[in-house]
Amino acid sequence: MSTWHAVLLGSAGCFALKVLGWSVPPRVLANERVRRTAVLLPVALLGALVVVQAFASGRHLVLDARAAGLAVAAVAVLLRAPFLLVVALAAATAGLLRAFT
Amino acid sequence: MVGQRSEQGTVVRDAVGIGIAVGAYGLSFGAVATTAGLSVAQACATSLLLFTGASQFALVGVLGAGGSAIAGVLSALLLGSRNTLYAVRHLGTLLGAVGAARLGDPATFGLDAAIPAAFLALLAPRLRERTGLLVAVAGGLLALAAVPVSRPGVPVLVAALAVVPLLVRR
Repeated sequence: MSTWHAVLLGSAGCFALKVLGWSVPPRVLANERVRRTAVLLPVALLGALVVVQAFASGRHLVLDARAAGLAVAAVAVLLRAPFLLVVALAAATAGLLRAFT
Repeated sequence: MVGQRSEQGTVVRDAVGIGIAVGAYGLSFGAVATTAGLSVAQACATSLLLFTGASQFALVGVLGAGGSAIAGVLSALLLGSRNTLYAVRHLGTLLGAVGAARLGDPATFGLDAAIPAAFLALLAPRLRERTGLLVAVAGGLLALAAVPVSRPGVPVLVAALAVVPLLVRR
């Protein structure tokens, strides 16, 4: 399966999920367990994506300039910096670190 | 009449503000997508068709980490599943994708570090409450544990197990 397949299949799937949201009875969506799972599933996945993108290199766990970038991003998030600034600071940190090492 | 005009002004100002903020979000998505190995056209198609911020980042994140297309799609769908609850950006994606594609090796400019930072920033609002923080940490630890023993892309899917205790417990 190519990258194009992934892009198109992912798009179709997410569209289908949005349509599904309109067709499911509100009673089901109001269910506390369904609601909490829907809210927290992305949280678990994003937590995983943060560490995988920062520390994984193939099947290996590594500590490189990305980790430094993530640390700076964490501080920026704590200081409630806007999204773009958080991303830019992380990139700049890793970029500078690589330029001088 | 004067009141109506100032009201219109407020609406226009808010709309422009949101447009700029969302466009900037698209800018970082475009840069991240091409860094992950998507072409400029693929980045724009994802933005136009998928049109679900976190899922877009998940898709390109998993593909960029060397995960299979299936794992990328599954991650995007799992993240997009919350859309079933709630009933200028594409230009930003185009600019970000073209810009990053011209930069050459993404690692030189630290664009690879921009990906985890983007996920962290997306996650930030949920980390301010206890359950969200616990689930995010659990998901992160599950993924870390899975990295050495599974193919790229799989650890992110494994992390979905972090919500299981919430289903069992009331």
